[in-house]
Amino acid sequence: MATYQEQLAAICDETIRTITRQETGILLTPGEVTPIRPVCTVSITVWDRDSYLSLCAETVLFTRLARSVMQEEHVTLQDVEDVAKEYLNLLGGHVISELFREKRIPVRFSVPAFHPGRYAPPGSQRNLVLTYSSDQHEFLELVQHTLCRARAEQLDTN
Amino acid sequence: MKKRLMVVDDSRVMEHQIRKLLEGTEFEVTAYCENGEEAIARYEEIKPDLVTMDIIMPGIDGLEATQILIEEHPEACVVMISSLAYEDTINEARAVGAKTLLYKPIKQAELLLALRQALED
Repeated sequence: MATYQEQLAAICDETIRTITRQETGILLTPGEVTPIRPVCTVSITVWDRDSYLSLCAETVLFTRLARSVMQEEHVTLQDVEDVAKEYLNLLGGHVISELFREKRIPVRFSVPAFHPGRYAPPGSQRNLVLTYSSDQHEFLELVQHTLCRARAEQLDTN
Repeated sequence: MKKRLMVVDDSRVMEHQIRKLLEGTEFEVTAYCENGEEAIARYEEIKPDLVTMDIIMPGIDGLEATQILIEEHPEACVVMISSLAYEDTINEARAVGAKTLLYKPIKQAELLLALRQALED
């Protein structure tokens, strides 16, 4: 039986690759990748489990996302920020909905926050890290950070 | 005459997307509010035919905003939009008086169907 972490990893991976492909046509391939260009991060707080989801990507990838989502060739920095936040909102909602179907735990999450550069919530640890390269070799990373592991361990025994 | 829609969502991206999806249809976005409190304050002034309401927003969430809006304006026609796609969310939306709930990412066909059915109810 898959642990909670294994289930979460599978759900996150399926969600991010499917939604990105379906909504923007951008293909993501899992792998060990490091960013070589400036990055920015969006994050949400997931209540009921004291955890966070953050999405860090090279800004050029978020810009490409913004062009696709807004269907505009020219996008502003504000557009990029807004699209990145809405994108994580979409991913987070779908991940949490799948988790609800598995674990029957209704969960809410916060309004997304935008951070230039890399970001990790203070006092958190990286619990789950999924790294991808896009079809144009851009870096993207989805991370689940946790503050309290007690409930995660409880769910592993359910 | 086009049906007037008020979009309530903290994301300008959603307002932009809905506006694009409704181009050439019988609906048009005539007002945008960034949060529930603004929607409640401006509803009387705008008097839209329909409202689309996000759930997760700063301040009061869309469910509470919908409940207050409908209490103050029983004629308000609200379609909720959310990325939280599980049955509790639908039940919560109906419980506060929304006509239906659409899951993000929304497509034009389902948006139009939801808006048309909401007006018929």
